[in-house]
Amino acid sequence: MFRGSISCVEETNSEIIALKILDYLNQHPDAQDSTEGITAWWLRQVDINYQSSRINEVLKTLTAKDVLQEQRQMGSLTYKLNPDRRDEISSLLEIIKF
Amino acid sequence: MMETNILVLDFELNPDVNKSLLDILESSKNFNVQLQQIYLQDSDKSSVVESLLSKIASFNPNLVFLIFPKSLLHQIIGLLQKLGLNKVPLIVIYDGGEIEDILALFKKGVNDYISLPLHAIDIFPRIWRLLETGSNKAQLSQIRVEQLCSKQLIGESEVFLDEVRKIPMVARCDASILVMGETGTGKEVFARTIHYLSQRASKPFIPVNCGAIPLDLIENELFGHERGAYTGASSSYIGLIREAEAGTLFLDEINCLPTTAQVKLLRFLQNREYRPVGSTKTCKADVRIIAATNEDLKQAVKKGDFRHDLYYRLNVIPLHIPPLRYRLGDVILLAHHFLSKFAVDFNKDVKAFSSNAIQLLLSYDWPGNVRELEHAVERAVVLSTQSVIQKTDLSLSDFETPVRQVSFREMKSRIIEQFEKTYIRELLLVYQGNITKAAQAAQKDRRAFWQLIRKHQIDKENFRSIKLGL
Repeated sequence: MFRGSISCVEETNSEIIALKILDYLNQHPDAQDSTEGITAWWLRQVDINYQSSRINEVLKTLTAKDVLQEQRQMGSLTYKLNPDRRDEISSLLEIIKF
Repeated sequence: MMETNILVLDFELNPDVNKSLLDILESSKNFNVQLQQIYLQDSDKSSVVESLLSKIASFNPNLVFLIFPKSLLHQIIGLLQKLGLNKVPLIVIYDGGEIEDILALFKKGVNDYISLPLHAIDIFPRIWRLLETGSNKAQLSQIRVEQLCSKQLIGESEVFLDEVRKIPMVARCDASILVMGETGTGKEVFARTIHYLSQRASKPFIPVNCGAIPLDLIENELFGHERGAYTGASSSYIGLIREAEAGTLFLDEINCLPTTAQVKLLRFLQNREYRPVGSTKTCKADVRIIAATNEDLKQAVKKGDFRHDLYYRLNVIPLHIPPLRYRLGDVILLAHHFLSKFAVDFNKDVKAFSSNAIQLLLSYDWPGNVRELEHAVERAVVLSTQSVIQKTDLSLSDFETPVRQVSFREMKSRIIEQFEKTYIRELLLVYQGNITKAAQAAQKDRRAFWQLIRKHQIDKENFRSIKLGL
């Protein structure tokens, strides 16, 4: 059984943002959206406000690490999961979820 | 038998009570129990609400137990209202309550009540009865989506809510949608909300600004090209329609689409078929198109700039996003939303607006709509040196048209117009939309004052519910 207490500490840690993005993509592997959409719908900002700069930094890092793919079209920049890394991410999330 | 998730929210913090409840619940193998202890008196209530909503969404309980002391009754009732828990079976464990207290809890969506001491014989029949009402998981997800939706689409004015209410309905179908509204009204936010409430939510949402793509490249960007389609096309390109497969393609500034691309898009909307540039092969794609425009497309059709058949194809469901000046009552709500966002973004301890700043926000015309308000608040947060935003931090006058290259006569008339608008709005604000009182204060005839209101298209209803709190 889980026992916890509510913490009001802001979860602005980059690792937490990255995990939330990966968790979303693990559940919705075909999803793709721009930073605005990721912030509003993948990170579910109803919980807490994340720093925009931190989110951008995480998206860039995950892209640099080849976990995300950046789709840069004229007038549009979107992110999606690199399908080659899907199983790896799935396993990672399984390990860290209690 | 499927496992039942039971969430115990403990505000009482009495280990005897929660231990005896957990012992009873855990004696059944069918229950997956989580205990959440909440220190309500020491915490920021809004953070507690958000954390609990998050907890509920992640754990997805089939039933919730609530334990709290008598002293917290009113706070708990307020909390229940905010949590919207009335869609989840809810049992309260509350000792020494009066019948009025219990009734108040039932009115707020509580389904059952147990007093201390706790016995298994009291608890299990209640759980089975409430669980018989069926699965609640779908309802809980819906609560979560509604919470997210309200976080994205901020506003309480009727003219705005009329359009917001259409979203769940239009999200369910796959028809084309034309979102109309001035620049900065939030057309993309509407389109994205429709996508995430639709069956396509787990697929791509691709936003494209047609106005940002050079005319000769639009076709290529939308429909892709084959290798060697033109000089320099050394590899093939799938295009945005293919990229958005199974999802939604949001075409902003659709009025900027050149005629040749209009023909191709029309064909795609009719048959879900298209041909990449330089290809002889016809491709199919399952994509929902949501188009948006800040211009009157009907006029563009009349002028021959936009195909009428495409207009009718796109305009199956029209959504009209009102400009901010038509929903002045939402300005403060939005301003506070942006204030919290930018306070986090810039790591500044800015918490409120001064009365003067609020008056300025309400008297301004907002030609750039919500986006202009967002930028104004962003700048104010950056410039602010105190925890309260002052009128001077907003520096809205910077947005006014520069004097350069404007004749004396033209400038004078603009300033008079601006003065009249600001003056009338401020008076209506002070007198909460009462024209008679506002006219008296202005020492003007009521009829003449009314004519000024009409001249500047000011909606007095916007001022009725605004309380300045001066």
